[in-house]
Amino acid sequence: MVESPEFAKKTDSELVELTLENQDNFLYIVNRYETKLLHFIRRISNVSLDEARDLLQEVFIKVYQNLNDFNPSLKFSSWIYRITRNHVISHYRKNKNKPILLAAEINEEALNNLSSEFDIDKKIDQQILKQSIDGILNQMDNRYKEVIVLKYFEEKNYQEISDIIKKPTGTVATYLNRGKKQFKEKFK
Amino acid sequence: MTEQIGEKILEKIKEGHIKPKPRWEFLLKNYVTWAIFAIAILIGSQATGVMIFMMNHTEWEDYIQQESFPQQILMNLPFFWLVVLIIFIAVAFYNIKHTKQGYKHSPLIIVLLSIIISLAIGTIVYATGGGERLEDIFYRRVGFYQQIMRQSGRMFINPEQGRIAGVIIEITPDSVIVEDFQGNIWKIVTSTENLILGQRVHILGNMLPDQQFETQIIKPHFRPFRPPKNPCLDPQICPGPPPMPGL
Repeated sequence: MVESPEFAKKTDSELVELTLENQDNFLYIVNRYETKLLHFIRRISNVSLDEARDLLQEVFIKVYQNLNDFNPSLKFSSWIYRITRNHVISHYRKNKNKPILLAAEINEEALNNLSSEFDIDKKIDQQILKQSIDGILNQMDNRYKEVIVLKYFEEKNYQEISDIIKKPTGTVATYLNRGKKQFKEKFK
Repeated sequence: MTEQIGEKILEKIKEGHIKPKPRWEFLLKNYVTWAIFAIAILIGSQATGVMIFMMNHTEWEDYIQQESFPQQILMNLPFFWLVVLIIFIAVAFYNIKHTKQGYKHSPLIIVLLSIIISLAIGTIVYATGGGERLEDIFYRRVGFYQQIMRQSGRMFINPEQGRIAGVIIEITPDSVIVEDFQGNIWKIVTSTENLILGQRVHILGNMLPDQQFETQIIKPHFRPFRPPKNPCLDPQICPGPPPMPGL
């Protein structure tokens, strides 16, 4: 099912309501978020693409089961990212895997964001830069790495990050500052 | 990929007859979390009320000045109620953190607010006499608490230095029998006005032979919040009703 122009205009909250009326409409939510969430899963875990797809399916099932818990005062994207993050963490705990970032998931946009934030010379070969950033992020504390991924890769603001990781915005700011400091130190 | 994953998910949902959980389930969970928070704060407030009562109404602090500072703290601080307060503040904190908006607030603010609310309600509990009643009920009915209070009382006891602490187990017109917190029985010759059976008291005086004690001061362990309406609980001591004023 390709998203029809009529459904493309619907807000996330409207799609939730429509899904609760007819489960087939859930496909529109899946369409809207699957690519973003697949990237997010790969950025915060060390799973293969196939495993990430399996995780994504489980995430969407969970989202469907919990649709009635969605509170419109929260952004739907924050809510769905939160469910994804929690699912990846519980998967990680079950399998005792250390989440790491994959260089393949550092796209052009994320690279630009990071370059301007951390004064990285853009003339450096992009492939080397990606590997370097990948290596640094892998060495960082998970909580700092997570907020850096959400801020510079997923382009979420403080409030959204706070809603996703369920920490006060002040804590998000602290994690981000410490993360940036750690990143800069390692990048030197 | 879109077609595959989306269709697969929908297929799974249909095959597994998966349904969204009902809204009431989430609402109930949220209400229960808030209710546990409220109950925890109320229990913490009761503990605070008792602590305020105990710290304001202890009568022996003037007589233990010669004890070491740690011993004075051990005798005076209401540890049991402090632990109860800490436990229930922790329960309140855990529950508020698990409400939908709980994560937005700093842990320090939540703990401070919980303490302030407990203090405010605790002050009301104390001011209405609830702290005294609760302490007394615990002493009479909770063995573990009684043991803690007796242990604290034992530290006061030193008959050679003229100090006894215990419970009144018998009252006669001119004396009381006191079982001290070490289990010794003492006959205390004293005026029995305002003394009650079962009351915890501390006594200052001089030790006499035959487990007798000459009393200089006998005071309840906790100064009553209000004077007892009928201090005489034993009909043998005061069989008739008190005379009417002016008659």
